[in-house]
Amino acid sequence: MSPIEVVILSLIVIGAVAGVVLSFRREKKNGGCCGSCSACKSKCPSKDNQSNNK
Amino acid sequence: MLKFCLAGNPNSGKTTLFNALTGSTAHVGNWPGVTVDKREGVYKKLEEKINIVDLPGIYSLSPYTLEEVVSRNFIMDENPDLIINIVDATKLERNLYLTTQLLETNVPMVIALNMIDTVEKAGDKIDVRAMEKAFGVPVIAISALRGKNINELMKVAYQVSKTPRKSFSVVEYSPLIGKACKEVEKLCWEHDVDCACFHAVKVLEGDLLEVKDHPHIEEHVQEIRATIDSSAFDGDFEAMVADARYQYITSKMPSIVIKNAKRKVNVTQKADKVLTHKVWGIPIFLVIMFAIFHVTFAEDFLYLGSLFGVQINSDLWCTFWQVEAGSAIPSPGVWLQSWCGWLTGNVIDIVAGWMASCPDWLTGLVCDGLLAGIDAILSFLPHILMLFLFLSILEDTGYMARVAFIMDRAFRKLGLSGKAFYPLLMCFGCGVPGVMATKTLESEKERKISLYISPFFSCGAKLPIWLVFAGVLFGGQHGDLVVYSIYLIGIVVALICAIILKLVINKAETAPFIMELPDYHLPQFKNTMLHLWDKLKHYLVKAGTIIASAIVIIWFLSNFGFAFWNGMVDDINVSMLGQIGQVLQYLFYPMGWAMGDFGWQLAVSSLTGLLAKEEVVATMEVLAGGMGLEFMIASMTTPAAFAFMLFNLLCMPCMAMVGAVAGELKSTKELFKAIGFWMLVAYVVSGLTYWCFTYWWVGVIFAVALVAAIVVLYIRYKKNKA
Repeated sequence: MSPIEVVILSLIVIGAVAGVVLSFRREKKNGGCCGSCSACKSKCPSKDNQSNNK
Repeated sequence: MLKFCLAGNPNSGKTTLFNALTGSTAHVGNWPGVTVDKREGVYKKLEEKINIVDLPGIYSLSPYTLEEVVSRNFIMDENPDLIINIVDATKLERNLYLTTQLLETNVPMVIALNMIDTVEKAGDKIDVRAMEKAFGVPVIAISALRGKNINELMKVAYQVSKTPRKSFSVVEYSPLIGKACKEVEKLCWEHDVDCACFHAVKVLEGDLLEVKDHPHIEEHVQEIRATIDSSAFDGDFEAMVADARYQYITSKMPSIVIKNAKRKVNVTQKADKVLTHKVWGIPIFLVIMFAIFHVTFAEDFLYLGSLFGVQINSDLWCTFWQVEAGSAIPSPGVWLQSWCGWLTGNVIDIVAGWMASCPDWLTGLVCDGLLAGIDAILSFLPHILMLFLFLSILEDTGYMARVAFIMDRAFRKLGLSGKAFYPLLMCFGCGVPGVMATKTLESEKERKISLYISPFFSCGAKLPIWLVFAGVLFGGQHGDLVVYSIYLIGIVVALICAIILKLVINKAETAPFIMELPDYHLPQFKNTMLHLWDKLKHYLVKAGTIIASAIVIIWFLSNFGFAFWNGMVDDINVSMLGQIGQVLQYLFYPMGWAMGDFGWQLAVSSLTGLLAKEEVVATMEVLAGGMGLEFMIASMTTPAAFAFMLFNLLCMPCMAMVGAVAGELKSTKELFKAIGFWMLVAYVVSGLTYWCFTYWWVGVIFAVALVAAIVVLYIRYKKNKA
């Protein structure tokens, strides 16, 4: 592998690790909720479930 | 901004009205207790924006359950500008009990008489004017489901919110305690108690919170109570107040409701005679569930191939059904999945073609890693959506509420009540909202048992694991039975664990379970589609974030050695993950499935499932490399395959659910106990499955030991009882 390829691959892997960490942080912030589905929204106490009618 | 709250009995349609007013898509279910916490939205169709607050369903303002505390605190402490009291017109008398309590607050109020269309359909009539006269607040007949009169309700509510309302209590009309109630109210006025009418009734009935908050009044109230003849109620003032409320409501009912004299037994009553039968109720539920699994997962739809020899032979039909010549007609779920697999397979081929000139590692990362991993879980999306479509229909029709009712008797013997069925039912979709819903259980023992057994209910994220194994085991011919058996085993293990936990956890007894069975109705298309959209969105968001990221890491670790700058390795066993996996593999040896050719790959896949359960199949696909997932599974014996599935069914759930359980248990020590419990159960059940079905004599020894243990326990139980 060329040095540039090594750098690109390293960046991709670092990005993936960051992706996993950020997903966990998001879930932790929401008290375990994914925060995206209404089942979570109706049960999750920490979410601000403001919604607007159109 | 003005603030209106929606208050009413459970399952009276508050959330449906909330969705109609605010345009939101909050979860609506045809069973009581869907909303646990309050939720907010904005109504914009009037000259002023209005903040709408959907409160949990309650039967009274007594602070006994979490829902009652949330609603009472909001109404009394957060000064809403108006209460929209949703009253189910089909169960008027019982719903008006809460209305009589809300009238005791001085918050302006309108009554939304919901489900008026159902009343009219049954031939009954409700005199709205008579109702307004009886309760002294405007009444608007609406249908939240069909959007009937909702704008009119909001216009009236807006006008009413501008004028203060004088509180009044129907208890004052009681010949027995009316006078006493007035005296206590006068006392409250003298002691400058805000909202005297509400507090007077509550103090009189001996509400614990009120007595604690107003000790100076309590002494005088005791003197007033002593003047009342309470012998008919054994001195229970709460019962006397409740009786006074119902007497008032009953006295007004003849002028409000005109019943259809020709009314016959309705469909709900007829169906309930069969579906909630004390003997047939549970078998009927099991048959319905099997029918759902069959339509979703069966390779031989309605057993037309096995029973009647129906086969697909023409090329055109083979292409249409996506099967080989001579196959039976697949179920709709399998048919949709085949087309989905065909589509995603072609997308991967096209992308691989585009990337032909790219470096090998980049092509491998995108095609063999990212796309193959995501394809492994997305190709099962039709199956998942179809299963949840049927479950959503069962819920929407009102059948699931009946299941909670028929389960109550069985659950009670296990230290749980029918109320615990709802959180556990939610775990079939996703464990996180299921765990959150356990907070509605009053008994701490019941809540703890539910939290411990909740991961054993197979969630949607685990479904790809069962499906990929079902497609290979028994020649892929009994997919429906394989998946159904896994779901049932999960339930059985959960129930056995509940029995054990009941003996271990020494807490107060199970709380009584009182619920109202909603009427059956046809599922609402919009509601069902919203459920499915939620499921799809949840799945896609996860596939695009945590799963995709984890696949990249797994692919990298399984294709490069520790000196990764030297390039990709030829043998996966010498990769970073291969070397780590071969050490970790020994941890899983006692369960048998880790001893095969792909032992460490399966061990690593199970471990990545802790990130998200979808990750198990995605990792297996990446680690199978060119040989394919099916080859990996086919190399396992049937007992080993089942043992692997059971381990993944019962072991520690994904991190999101662990986080949710941690939040509910509120103690790190308790959380570690729970994790230890899950891993122990998974280890024991998985290990026993492998060894008992691989060596018949182990099975015999285990069966004899089990029967002996049951006999000894039964004898001890009888002795203790005697």
